[in-house]
Amino acid sequence: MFGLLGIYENITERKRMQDDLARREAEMRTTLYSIGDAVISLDINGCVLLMNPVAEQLTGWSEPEAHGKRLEEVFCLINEKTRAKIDNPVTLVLNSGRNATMMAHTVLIASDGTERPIGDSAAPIFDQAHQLTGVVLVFRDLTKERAAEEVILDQLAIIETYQGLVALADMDGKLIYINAGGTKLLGATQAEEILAKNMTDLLEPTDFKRFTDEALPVAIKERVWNGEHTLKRMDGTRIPVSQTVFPIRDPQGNLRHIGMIITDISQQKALQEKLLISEKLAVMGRLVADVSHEINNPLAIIIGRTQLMLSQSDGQQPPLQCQLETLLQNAQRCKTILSNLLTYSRTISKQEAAVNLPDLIREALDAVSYQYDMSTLEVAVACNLSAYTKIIGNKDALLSVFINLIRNARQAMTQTGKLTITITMENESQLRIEIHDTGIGISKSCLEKIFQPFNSGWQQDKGTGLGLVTSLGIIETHGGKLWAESAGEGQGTKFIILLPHRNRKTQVINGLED
Amino acid sequence: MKKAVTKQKILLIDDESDLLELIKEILEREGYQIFCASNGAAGILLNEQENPDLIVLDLRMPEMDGIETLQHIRKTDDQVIVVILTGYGCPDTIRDAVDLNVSEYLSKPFENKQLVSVIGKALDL
Repeated sequence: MFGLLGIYENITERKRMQDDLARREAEMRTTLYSIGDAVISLDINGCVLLMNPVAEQLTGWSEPEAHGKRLEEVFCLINEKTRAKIDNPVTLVLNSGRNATMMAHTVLIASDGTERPIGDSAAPIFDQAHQLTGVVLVFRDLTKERAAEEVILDQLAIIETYQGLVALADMDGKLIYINAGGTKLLGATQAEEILAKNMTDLLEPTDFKRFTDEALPVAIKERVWNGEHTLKRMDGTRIPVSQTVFPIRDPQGNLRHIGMIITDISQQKALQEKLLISEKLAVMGRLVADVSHEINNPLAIIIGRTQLMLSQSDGQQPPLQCQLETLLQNAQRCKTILSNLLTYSRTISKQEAAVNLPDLIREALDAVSYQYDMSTLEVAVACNLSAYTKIIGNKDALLSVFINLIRNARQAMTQTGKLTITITMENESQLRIEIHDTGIGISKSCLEKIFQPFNSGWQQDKGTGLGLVTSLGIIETHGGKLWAESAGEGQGTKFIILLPHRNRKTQVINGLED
Repeated sequence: MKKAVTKQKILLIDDESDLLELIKEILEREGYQIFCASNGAAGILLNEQENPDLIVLDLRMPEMDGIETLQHIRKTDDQVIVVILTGYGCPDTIRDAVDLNVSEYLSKPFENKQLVSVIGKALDL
């Protein structure tokens, strides 16, 4: 009974062990077959024992076909670039008994000729006695990774080409990446000069607190912070920038890096300032216009009354008459200043548009004739241009230039004289306008001074010394030139204006920005 | 002895009373008969009552401005000669006045002589 029982137990034990083995093998096969990577197991001679379906698919061999074949037959590797055959890692493992991984740029050629970039590793198998019994080769199709890598490289190229600064910093604030645009923006020649610096090294010291107290916490809490800072360049110069700060997290949501995008906004800033100035000028222009209109009446009364008193006191009280004359002269001087201010105020902050020069000059002649007697003058306007030639400019401003120059010409000619205005093409890009009078002329020494402020060549009651300065400024903002020529006193004067015409529109607009 | 020629009548319309007074004095010395109105409405009324030969009209006046006043006057009177007083070289207002048959423009501040000659010229036309 005992013996029988013993045998029975023995048989039961063996059966159980056999069952275990079969179960384990089944488990192992299931595991092997369900692995996403390709797996090939090899015996000690490097011949194929097992192959999972992924391995079948990538090599193009079925497991039964491959079984017992040497690995080199089913697993053909070449270098992606040199296309030279590569030894598979299994030989290395069999020789060394250690794990081996494959070199980069390895391509597997399947039985049908399909080439796939792969990554693989091989590990030795030992039995219980630590004897090497075989090798397991695990490999993966890297086609998708390679494509993704290419996309990342493309994106990196975009970031590198971007003119603004793109940078990454670790959580201590140390810069670990900066693009070429950022390197250039900071005035460095190589990214290495900037890497390892701290983010705050790029900021104006006064901006530190704002960066650490506001930008960083807000970026971390709300995923992005936008604001303006002053960027400190390598050479110590500063530029205004707009900055975006954002955290980069790992898949678990832990902070990994801080990202920064910085763009140079010095041009916008300069433009904003110009706009602000032009707004201020516009307000000033309106104010000047209103004030001069309001002062016109009281001034008319002062001048009129003084003249009336002078005419009534005909030589009876010389000292009084002298004082009245001084009064009158100065009131008249105020009048001229006002009219110049008014002219100037009308030139401020107007839009540029196409201007017809002959029309404009006729309008200027009309305007001057309201104030001065032009009937004693011989006036000739000659325009030698095609009807299509126009200039782009501020019409009111240019009008005031011509009014001013025509008024000067009128005043230069005591009674009779000839005023000649000619418009011709100077060259391909410029028009030449000449305003020529036969008046008193300008001496050489005065000629140099007439464009300086408050340096009127006129007697006190005729000019303020602002007209030509203003005119010059207007012509220069139109990208043109203005100068005077005179053979000397008594020889008449010629004012010459060069203005860019329509075909050079961009140049005109650039000029107006200044 | 009565003058053979009746005095020519001039109506001044200006809101600035001192200026009105000054122009009145200058023109009276030249022998004109002067009527003064310190706003547009009074000017329109006086024009109907006195039927002047010429009106000196200020463009800038509160409430009814010079252009509006002249538009009213021109509805019933296309004969009266009009001289406009304006600030220095205001092309805009001059353009506005173009259709209203204005004879002369005089920009403020003006010389007394200028005023007299402009008015003489306008009346001679």
